[in-house]
Amino acid sequence: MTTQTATPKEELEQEQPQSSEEEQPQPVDERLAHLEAENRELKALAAENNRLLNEIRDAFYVGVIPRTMLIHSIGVVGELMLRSPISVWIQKDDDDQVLAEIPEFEVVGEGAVEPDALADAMIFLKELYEDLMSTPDEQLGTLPKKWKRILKHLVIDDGAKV
Amino acid sequence: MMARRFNSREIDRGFRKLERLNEADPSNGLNLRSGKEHFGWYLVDGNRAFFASSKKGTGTVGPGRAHKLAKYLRITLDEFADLCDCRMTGPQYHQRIVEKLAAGTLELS
Repeated sequence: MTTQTATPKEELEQEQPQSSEEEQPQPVDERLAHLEAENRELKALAAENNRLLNEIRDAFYVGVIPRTMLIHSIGVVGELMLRSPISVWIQKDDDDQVLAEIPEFEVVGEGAVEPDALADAMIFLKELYEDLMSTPDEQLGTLPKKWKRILKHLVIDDGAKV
Repeated sequence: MMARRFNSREIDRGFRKLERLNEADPSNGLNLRSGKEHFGWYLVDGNRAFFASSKKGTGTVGPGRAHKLAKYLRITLDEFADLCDCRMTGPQYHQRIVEKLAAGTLELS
């Protein structure tokens, strides 16, 4: 009933906001649609970037970087100290095992992770040292005799443990 | 040779062959000590020539570890595979080592 009795001015006032509401939402919707499209594009780009990054990581990441480390003791860490460090070659085996090799004494330790492999090699080297020290030189071949001489010089041993 | 995975039983078999040599003749072969690991000296004419070590147990031994085992046993990976399988006997391995020593192709120094 009231709408029917409204004056033309009132009708205009009523129409004006309506017309401005009709005009404003249109650009906002467009802008929103545009932003949503941009967002979709960015998401697609981010996904592609992640995929490429994973590909690069897979191609170059080996878990263990082959390198040489220095150990300053043998046996359990700190058990028998060394006068000068011995180099250990850390590398990864194909079956996810890590190898720690002391080529100088032909000792190889292995483990699921690097510290295990390193500890294994250090324990093996201590066993070798103890074995060599308890064996008379006459029973040793050229190579073990050489190892014995080097280890005797390297290991700081008060004689209590061997 | 393609990278081969050995299982622990095959490695044990190889070590056992060399150990049996020592049981038959204490001045030759692999003198393993008892323990949770294979750790022993390979004797040639009563002298400790080199030592070999490997973990006992189950599971596989990767190509890298197998290569090192072969290297320190002074044989090729193919020969190591023969030793772990049934193609090379303990005496054949020892003969090869002795021949290499005599020919000067194996230096233990």
